[in-house]
Amino acid sequence: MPDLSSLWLTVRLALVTTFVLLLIGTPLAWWLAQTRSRFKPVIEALIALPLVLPPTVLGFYLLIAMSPNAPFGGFWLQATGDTLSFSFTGLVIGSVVYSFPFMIQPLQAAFEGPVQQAMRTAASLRASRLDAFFTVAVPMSLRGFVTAIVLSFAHTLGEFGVVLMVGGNIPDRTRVASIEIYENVETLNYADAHALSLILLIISFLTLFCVFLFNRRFPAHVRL
Amino acid sequence: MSDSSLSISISHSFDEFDLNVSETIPLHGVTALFGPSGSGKTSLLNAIAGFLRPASGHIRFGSSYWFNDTKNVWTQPHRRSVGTVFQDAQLFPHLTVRGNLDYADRRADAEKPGHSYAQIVSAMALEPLLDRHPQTLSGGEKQRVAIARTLLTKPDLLLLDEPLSALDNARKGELLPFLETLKSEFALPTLYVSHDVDEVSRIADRGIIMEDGQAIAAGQTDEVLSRYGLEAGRNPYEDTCTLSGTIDRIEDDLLAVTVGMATVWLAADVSLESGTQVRLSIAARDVSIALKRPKGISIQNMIAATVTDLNPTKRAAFQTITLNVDGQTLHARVTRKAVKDLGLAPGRNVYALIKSATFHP
Repeated sequence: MPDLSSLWLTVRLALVTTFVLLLIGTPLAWWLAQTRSRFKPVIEALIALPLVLPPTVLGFYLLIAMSPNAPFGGFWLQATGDTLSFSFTGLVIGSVVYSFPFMIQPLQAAFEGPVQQAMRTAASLRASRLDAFFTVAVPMSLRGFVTAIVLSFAHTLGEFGVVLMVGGNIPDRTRVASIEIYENVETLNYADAHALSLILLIISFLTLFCVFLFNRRFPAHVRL
Repeated sequence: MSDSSLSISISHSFDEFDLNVSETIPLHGVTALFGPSGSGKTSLLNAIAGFLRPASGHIRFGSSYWFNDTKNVWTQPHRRSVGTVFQDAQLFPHLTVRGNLDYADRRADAEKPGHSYAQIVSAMALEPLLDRHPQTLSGGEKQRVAIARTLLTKPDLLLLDEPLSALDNARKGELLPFLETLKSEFALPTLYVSHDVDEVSRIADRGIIMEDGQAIAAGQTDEVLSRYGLEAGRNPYEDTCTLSGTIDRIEDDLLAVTVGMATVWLAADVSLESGTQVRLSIAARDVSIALKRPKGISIQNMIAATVTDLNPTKRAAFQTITLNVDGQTLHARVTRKAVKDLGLAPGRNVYALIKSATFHP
């Protein structure tokens, strides 16, 4: 029987990461959807970087930034009394960066065009911007939200390289399922590797299946 | 009476044109903003509604400033008592008709006197549609919902941005009576954007003619329209030429009209005697140009012509070619690239290919 604590840690990491991404990603995607700033392409390229960069490269830079000797890592150590590298918080930060495009891109696409015009319409009906955002933009972008949330969650589940670089392999702290599978294979414990791999495969499939099912039932601009 | 007028004095630069408008619009009746696309009508409406902050100037509604750049005054769009009905209705797709109406009703000032929900629904004949989703409505029905939704906000000024332009002729006919109801029953000061002379002369009391971002004339509708030679039934912004010809014969429901040396074939369900004089209206966009008489082409009407002049059009990509057809003038609208590729220049002999023509006996 494989150790299921790594699986629980993985799910927890994916949930926290998705939640953090939703909080940061929504305003950023909103800004990108309506800005005419000349910095937009630069920011879009930066956000898309994790799609093409080897996770080890990303992990390497993050590890350096999180080290107690670096300004960011040092500040964190002073403020919280704990190091960022090799901690759960460090993993969350790494995963947020790694899954960033998966949250931003579907949201940005959902917020563009018709939703921006609908915001004007809402303003002409006396709705303030915040009011209109929650009563018009969010319901009209429901499909984008579901896609963004599920993709970020699923992508974090399957993370390996960044976690290994930033978090290492500390049981109950940073040993996520993908790393446990790797370790099982290294120690020739194929039975446990099989079991964990299959569980991860099923969870990932079901998660993605839900998105496609949802997208089929609710074409483009959904009804509530 | 500054208290009952909308005073606008704004300027703003866009990529394609500059908007420079100084007008005082009385706050009663319907004022049409009339002009071709790209003349700045919609931009002016956007500035009034608060979707466009002009570079400089002021907009004063009654005694309160919505925009004044010298005092840095800017009123957010949702705080202006303006109701905008957009070209394509812009109903919220995630709400039913009732949901769309409630959205406006809930945000309206309940204390302010005005028509009741029931009165507005009945004036726009929306009872049977209340539980439908916007996707299932026709273009005219959508516009009626959009108008009712805007009325529910109890606006002091109504902005209608070409509410009929997305509709075909039959639907336009259905919606026009509702616009007249709007005028007679609700009597809201209205700015009505249009590029259709018929609509303007039917609905508006006053007209402002826009061209190249400026208001070039203002006054009583009929007076302004006739001053600019704009009569109902004609689209002044279509470059159209008239060729005179004689009916030669009728064959297979096609009318053969002799224009100079050439014969033009037209579908016509009228019975006219051979030898009758007729006039053909041909829009420049329906005329193409070929250097040789083309073969194997579905266009049947080809007339030999000589290029006499080349002129720029409002859209940079196109040029208007003036052609001489046996002493008569015909315009063709072709791309600049075509002018270059075909080497079109005054004196060149070409064939004018006519895609369609309408005729007047």
